[in-house]
Amino acid sequence: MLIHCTMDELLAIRDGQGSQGALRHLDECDECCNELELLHQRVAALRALPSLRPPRDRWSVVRDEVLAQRARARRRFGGWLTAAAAASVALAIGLGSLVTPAAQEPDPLSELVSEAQMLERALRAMRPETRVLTGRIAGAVAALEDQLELLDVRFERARVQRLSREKVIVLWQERVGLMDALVNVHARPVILIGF
Amino acid sequence: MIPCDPRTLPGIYTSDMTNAVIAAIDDIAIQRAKAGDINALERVYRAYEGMVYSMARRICPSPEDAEDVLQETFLEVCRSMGAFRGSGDGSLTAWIKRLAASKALMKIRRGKYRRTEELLEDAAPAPNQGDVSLRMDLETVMQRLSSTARAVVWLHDVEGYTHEDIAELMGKSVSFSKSQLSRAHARLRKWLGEEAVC
Repeated sequence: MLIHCTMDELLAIRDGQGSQGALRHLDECDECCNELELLHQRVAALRALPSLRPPRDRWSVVRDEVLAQRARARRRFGGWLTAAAAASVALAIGLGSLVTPAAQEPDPLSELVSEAQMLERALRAMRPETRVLTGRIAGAVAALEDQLELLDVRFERARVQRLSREKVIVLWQERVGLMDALVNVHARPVILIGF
Repeated sequence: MIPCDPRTLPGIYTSDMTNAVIAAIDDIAIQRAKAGDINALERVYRAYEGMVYSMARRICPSPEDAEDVLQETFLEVCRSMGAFRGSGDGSLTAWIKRLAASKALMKIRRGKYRRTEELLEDAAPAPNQGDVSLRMDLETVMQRLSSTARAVVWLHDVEGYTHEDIAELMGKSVSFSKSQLSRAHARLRKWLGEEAVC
């Protein structure tokens, strides 16, 4: 019985990687020859599809966001300079001794929230969207993002059910743990998009 | 009767026109865009918006998703242009294309519609091969593929990415990319009901 080429084999032949057996079969089989021709025609038709133009002009949105980002960056830099100058002045005139450490216990919930915010900033600074991840790292990222998504649902449930502060703290601890893991995964060497 | 020029139709302009506009981006404009000149960045946007939107539209399931990809791609272009190390418009094209592919794949990975779409794909009727009237248009059948399969077909067969490139962009294995392409072509073949030609 004649065994025809599979789609895998036809694609391999098209890409110049066909096996000797498949190539020999192709020489003798009109049906497979036709299938290969159809594959070529299908791809040619895909390549011939017309270019499309976006229905709405998005440049104004992009431009406004870029200009806003630049303004924010300038303000941050200005604020940092002001803070640095103020700190220098304070040190110079010896006011540092007037600053007393807070006597009260730190609030664990506030600390966790701050830690989560810090990790989010660190993650944004890594700009994960510009990186091409290896399969293993991408898998780890996806798993962590899934867990964060599930955690969001639990946060929402906690809000609706007005869970105790202790239980909310546990959720925040989980979030910080996951965010920390996500930052660590992204901190591994990756390929940057660009040439 | 007014002659119908496809370039004036909403949503479409020809490849010739795209090439002409891209060719207008010279090295000086690229250098100005790299320095952050907003007018030069707009020229880059105007030159490549069709290319990016077309690719995004072929990969994403909806025009809205494709528009989002367009916007996210050019926000990234504007942010990272200073770090772009290429010089000619050829390498700029490849860079922007790769950014767009990455954003589009991110979009379909985060989408919540995949299950429904894959169910639709499996439930799609097989057209009668002998009845030309039942044949579906190529773009329509492409939209019936799952987002992942559609992305692999487009990136490999049209954009010329290798399976290794696609695997890396998708965070999957090379064999995953190959099997997606093979299954997608088998489905396209079935749905289009093509007739033998030689």
